[in-house]
Amino acid sequence: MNQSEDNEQWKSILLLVGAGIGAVLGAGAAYLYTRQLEETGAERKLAPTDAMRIGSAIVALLRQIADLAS
Amino acid sequence: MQDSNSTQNPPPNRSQLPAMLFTSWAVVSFFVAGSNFWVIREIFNMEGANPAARGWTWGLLALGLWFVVAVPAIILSYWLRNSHHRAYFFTWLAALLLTAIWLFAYLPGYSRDQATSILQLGLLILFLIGFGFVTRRASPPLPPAQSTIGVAVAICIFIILTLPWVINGAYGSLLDTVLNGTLATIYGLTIGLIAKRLLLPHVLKHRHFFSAGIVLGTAVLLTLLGLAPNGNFLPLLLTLPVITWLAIPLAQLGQKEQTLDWRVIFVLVGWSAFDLLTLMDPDELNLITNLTGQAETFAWVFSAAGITSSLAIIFGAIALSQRTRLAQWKNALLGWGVAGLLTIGALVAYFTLGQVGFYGEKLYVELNTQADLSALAQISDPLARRQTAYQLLVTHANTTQAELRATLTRFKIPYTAFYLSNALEVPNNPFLRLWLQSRPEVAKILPSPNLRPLPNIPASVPGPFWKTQGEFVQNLSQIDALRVHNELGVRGAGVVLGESDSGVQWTHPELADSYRGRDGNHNYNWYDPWFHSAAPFDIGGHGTHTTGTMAGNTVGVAPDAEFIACANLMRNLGNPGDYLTCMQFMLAPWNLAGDPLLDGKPELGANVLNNSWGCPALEGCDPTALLPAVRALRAAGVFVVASAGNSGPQCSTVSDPIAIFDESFTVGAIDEDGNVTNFSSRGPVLVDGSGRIKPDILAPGNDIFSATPNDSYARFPGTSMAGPHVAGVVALMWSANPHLIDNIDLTEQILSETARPYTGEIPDSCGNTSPSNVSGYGVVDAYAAVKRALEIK
Repeated sequence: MNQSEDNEQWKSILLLVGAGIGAVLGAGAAYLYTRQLEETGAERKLAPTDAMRIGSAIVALLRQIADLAS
Repeated sequence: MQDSNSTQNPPPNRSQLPAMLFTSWAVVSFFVAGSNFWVIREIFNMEGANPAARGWTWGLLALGLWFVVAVPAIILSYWLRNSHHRAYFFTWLAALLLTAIWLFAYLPGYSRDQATSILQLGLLILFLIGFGFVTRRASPPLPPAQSTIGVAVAICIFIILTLPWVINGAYGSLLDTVLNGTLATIYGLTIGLIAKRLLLPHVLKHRHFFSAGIVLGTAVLLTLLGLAPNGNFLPLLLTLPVITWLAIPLAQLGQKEQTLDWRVIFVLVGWSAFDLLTLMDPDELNLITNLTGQAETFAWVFSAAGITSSLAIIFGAIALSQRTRLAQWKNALLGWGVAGLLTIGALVAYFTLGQVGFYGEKLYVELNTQADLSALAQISDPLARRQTAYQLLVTHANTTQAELRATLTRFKIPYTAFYLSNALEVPNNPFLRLWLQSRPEVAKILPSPNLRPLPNIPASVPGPFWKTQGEFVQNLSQIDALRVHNELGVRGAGVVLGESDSGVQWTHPELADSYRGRDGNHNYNWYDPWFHSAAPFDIGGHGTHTTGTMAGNTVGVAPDAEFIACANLMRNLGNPGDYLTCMQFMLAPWNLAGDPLLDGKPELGANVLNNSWGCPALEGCDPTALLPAVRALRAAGVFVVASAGNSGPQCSTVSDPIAIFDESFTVGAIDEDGNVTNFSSRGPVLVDGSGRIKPDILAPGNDIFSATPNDSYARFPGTSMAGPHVAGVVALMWSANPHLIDNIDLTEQILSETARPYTGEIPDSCGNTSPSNVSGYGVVDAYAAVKRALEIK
């Protein structure tokens, strides 16, 4: 293999795969959310505290993934 | 998983929840984990992890995923009492048991596909016998099929689904194809039998066809961990479960709702697996082979997978919506007639549009004796020294390989003989490998991976610039090469440079004057071991770029030197055999149709070789592969420059042949400000246990401006770009003082002594040795080196 430091190609494919994983996870999360709503009959509203909690969890997850490269 | 079209089904209730949750869990786990496995595998490949590490890492990940899915399946199968829901879980448990047995197929490791296939086949047959025996009295039994129309339609649909694969794909060796074909057929039989004994009787009772398709598709999904241990997991994941889902509604065809034809499952699953296992090389999905920016293999495989899955979903939707009508379908003869016509159509498509033939991997076999070249040191004339080296090497190879060659010829096994390293290349075959291992003259056997042909040869990729501008060649000023041209009048005339790389655009305005075959005669000036092309060409542009830095008119260090070229990197993948072929071509070129051992002309060989490549384990090399060849080149008076690699900034990342050898002059990269680049690999060399200090020297290697195909230019970063600077400087030195030609030791000494001490901001963090494991002897100085060369008498 050549010794050129041209990583753009594998980076873009990793981005595509990452997008695929995100899509599957997002669809799965949405499915579980809607299913839970149907089963419990709960009202569809998101409290600011819930949004904050989910937001901070996502930021923590992103940081963990980014830290894999360090 | 409630059938929307079934009037007999109860409304949604919690009893179906475990099956639904398990299916969702299995699908999400496999897609997420499968994608991540692929990414991890790629990172391993890019980082040059050894094959054993890749093998067991992939195996452990698979084992972990198996547990994640198997534990809930086992618990739920005991907890559930409803018979048809238990049938779902027993189907999944059978699939998980097969997968657990198949996990042993990970043991042979990476790049041992045939050994893996044989192990998979043996384990599958054991499972099939055991499963058949244990479930022989499963009840209720499935009534026998009443018509073969389902099988005929399954064949028709299989042929339609197979078209993207037979047109775009290519088979490996005949043995690969037979092994994987047998594996796929028995796999189809096993899935069919699991369905027949555990699932279909319950489906028939409750008429849950849609759900049953998903259950069996999920079961197939669970087996993929074992069926595809070598990297084709991802495309199989996208296609085979969907095709299996389609098989259930097709199994009703012509059965008047009294039974289901399990043979439909066998045909669709088994034969589709045959396509996916035989027509693509899973190793080629990795990103190293995608230099052209078009992700060639990746692109066609995932396009084909998308087309196949989409068609399977469409056919499945039709079959489900029309199932009452289809169950009454009687005309089997019509189905078989259409199947026959489609088969003929598929064969015509394969022979006219496909990649006809077998393209298997190879084995590189190194013998345990190498030619004694010690006498060469006494020969002062460079040409005589090189000619004697060629004769000694060829004679030794012919003598010591005679018995092996005779046996291979007797059994009609094709081989390629090498002389620069005493070695042979033969087709990959586990039985041949066993025989060779038993031979006393064989020292080692390495895999020699081979690329299968693509549906279309990718077009050459032009760079973003179309003409040179003075400020773009800052790299030439940085090493004072322009002063050599202007003040000393030395531009490399009389020296032949050798470029082994991806090829070259020899008509490029930068290179047309320097190529030795510029009159159109490419004999002895160009060799292409991959395609045996008659004239130089370059798809990826890497070879044109590095040659431009060595010998380009306005972007080159030695613009008046001549060059010859050889293509050892096709689609950025090499192997020991092709690397060695190009080295032999550089020592003693042969004509386009010639034989290296008979027709080599040492008098036309190159003086200085640039090697902007490394041979990692992924390509088959071990730490001493190619070492005899580099030693022989040095003994023959050929200067070998090697790029250090791009795995920095960690220490001991100079790790691949030929950069790790003492006999190679290894070059790391600095940027425009004189700092060693982050990516430039560092020493010491640990892979061979030597602790050798590397690199030897530094040269510009960050965003170097040079020639690329279609008369264009581009900036490339990498130690690939640093190496050609040093090769060019050696050409300048030898052009300035021809007495230095073939005096490798003295040339290296001058380069080391005249190098500017490294004063960059990034310190030596790899042992503080002298020379340094980060910067070697310092930054190459063309002007000082040529001035010193001129002083040598």
